[in-house]
Amino acid sequence: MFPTIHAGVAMSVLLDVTNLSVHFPLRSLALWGGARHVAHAVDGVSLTLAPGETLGLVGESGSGKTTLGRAILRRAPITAGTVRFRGEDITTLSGEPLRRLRRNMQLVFQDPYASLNPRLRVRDIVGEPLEVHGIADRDAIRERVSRLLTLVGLPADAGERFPHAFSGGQRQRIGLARALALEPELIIADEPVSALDVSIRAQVVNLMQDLQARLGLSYLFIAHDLSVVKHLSHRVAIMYAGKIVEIGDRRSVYERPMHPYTEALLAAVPVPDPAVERHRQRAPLSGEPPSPVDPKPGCRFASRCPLVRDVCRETQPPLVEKRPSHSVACWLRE
Amino acid sequence: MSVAVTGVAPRRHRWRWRDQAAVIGLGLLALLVATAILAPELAPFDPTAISIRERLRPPVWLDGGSWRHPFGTDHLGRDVLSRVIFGTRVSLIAGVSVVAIAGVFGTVVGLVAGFVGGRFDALVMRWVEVHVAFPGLLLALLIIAVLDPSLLTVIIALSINGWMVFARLVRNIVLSTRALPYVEAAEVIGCRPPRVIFRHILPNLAAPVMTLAVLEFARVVLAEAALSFLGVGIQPPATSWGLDVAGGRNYLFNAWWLVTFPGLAITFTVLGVNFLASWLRVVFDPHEGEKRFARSVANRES
Repeated sequence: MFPTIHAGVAMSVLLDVTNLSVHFPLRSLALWGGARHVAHAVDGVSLTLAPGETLGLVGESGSGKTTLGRAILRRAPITAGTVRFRGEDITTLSGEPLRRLRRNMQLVFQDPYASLNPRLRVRDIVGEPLEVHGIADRDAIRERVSRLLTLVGLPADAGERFPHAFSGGQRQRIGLARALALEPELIIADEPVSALDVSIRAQVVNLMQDLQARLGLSYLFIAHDLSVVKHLSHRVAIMYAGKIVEIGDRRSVYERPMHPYTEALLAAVPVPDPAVERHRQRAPLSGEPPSPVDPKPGCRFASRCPLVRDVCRETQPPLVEKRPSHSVACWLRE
Repeated sequence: MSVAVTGVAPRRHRWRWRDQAAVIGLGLLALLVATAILAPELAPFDPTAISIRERLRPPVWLDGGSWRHPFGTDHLGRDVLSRVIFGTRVSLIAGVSVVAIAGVFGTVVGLVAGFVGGRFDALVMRWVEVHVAFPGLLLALLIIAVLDPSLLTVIIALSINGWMVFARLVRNIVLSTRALPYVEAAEVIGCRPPRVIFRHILPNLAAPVMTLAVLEFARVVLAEAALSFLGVGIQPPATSWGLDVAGGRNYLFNAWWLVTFPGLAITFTVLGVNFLASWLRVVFDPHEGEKRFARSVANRES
């Protein structure tokens, strides 16, 4: 859509998402007739991810960030746009080629309790990817599983136990070990720490950074708050109501945000110093995000934007690179 | 969670009332199976042997009763004990075969409907709803009116009436487990559909389907008795508990034992099966397993 984002990194792109849309047709409640409604979960999103890079994807619940992650993994139906992985168009991949693609692209789940089968031993959970892809024989799988468990910082005998013997943080490590088993290049982490205690979050985030440094992984790190993302992202994308409103280098986005929504998000992050916190200027957002069903024309944020103008209600602002490696979709920054 | 990390296998647990009930249930069912198999050896008389001279003898502990007929005799002088013993066969055969046929068919329909989804699912489930809305006994009577009444017909009629509950249960479980993150995880790591079904979804079905099967077994025993009672089930000279209750009701006021003993046999069968069902539910449920595990840890610590 707007090639500005791609320009600089075209040489080394692992993941290239162009104009991706995921629309869900809603079943009408009437027995017959009734208007057809469509929920625009993700609407014309473009982003790229370089090898070894972490892109933090931030948005509130319902902004479509999880759906975007699932669409990239080809687990949500893609309505329009393309997803390219290592230069190969995977938008319409299916069957066996799609299954093989799983070796390179893995998912870490939000809920460490529900994402591990309670009936299987940890070594069977972590070893299953190796088994189903026929990568190694039984002895080799055993050996690799114990290496993986050590890699994510679990005791060597963890494999013999069942998931319920572990805490949330430990379970998330198990989930990470399972995702790493196939040695993927890209890991989509869907709010991997939001279900964890604050004290455990840092451990898991540090582990993920450590693994990235050692294995050269790329992360698409989905989160709903900026503080977690700030710590480990190279670039940050802000999503609002199915669209990316701002994307750019971490420092640029955090220090000089351009979109009013990003500003509001940053203002909502508490400052650890109570003296500063007390005198900080804050303009909390009022209202609710718009319904994704049959969106109105114009900027999606118009209904809550403190700086809204007439043009915002009429025409959708394009995502334009306003500073080097920093793009924003807002009419006010023209 | 720190206590849990000690990693003790949650195998042993305290002897609880539920387990005692299960032992009683299991004992009753074992007795039933043994009785059905050994019926010719156990029964003192041929259940169909008529002896007019000995008609309506009371049970052994009443005046006029004797050890020759411990449960007394019926209006044709047939030995009630022998008839109850042989009646076990009909009940067990009907119960087991109906549950097997209806259970397998219903489970397959539910699995496919839940998995395929879409139009097929909608179609099948509407069919189930219509079928459930139709009175089961009436349908059974219709089927038996068309075919001739016999044990086989009873089994067919009850199977046709019994599969919908299985289909519904299985479909709902498939739908809800498909949405579980660990099932999605299995798909994301590249498991093929059969592996997802058999390794990650099917184990969730085992407990509820087993429990339902056991409860359905109890229902089928009652339904067979009801059909035989109405005269469209087992036909004389064959015997069945329901048939005997039906035959005995004419003599209810002067020979209560004719309905009481087959009635008790039905009661104990259903009771035993229910005991077993409630225990099975607990044994298979991983959440109950967690609770048991937590209890065992707490017990050890205190």
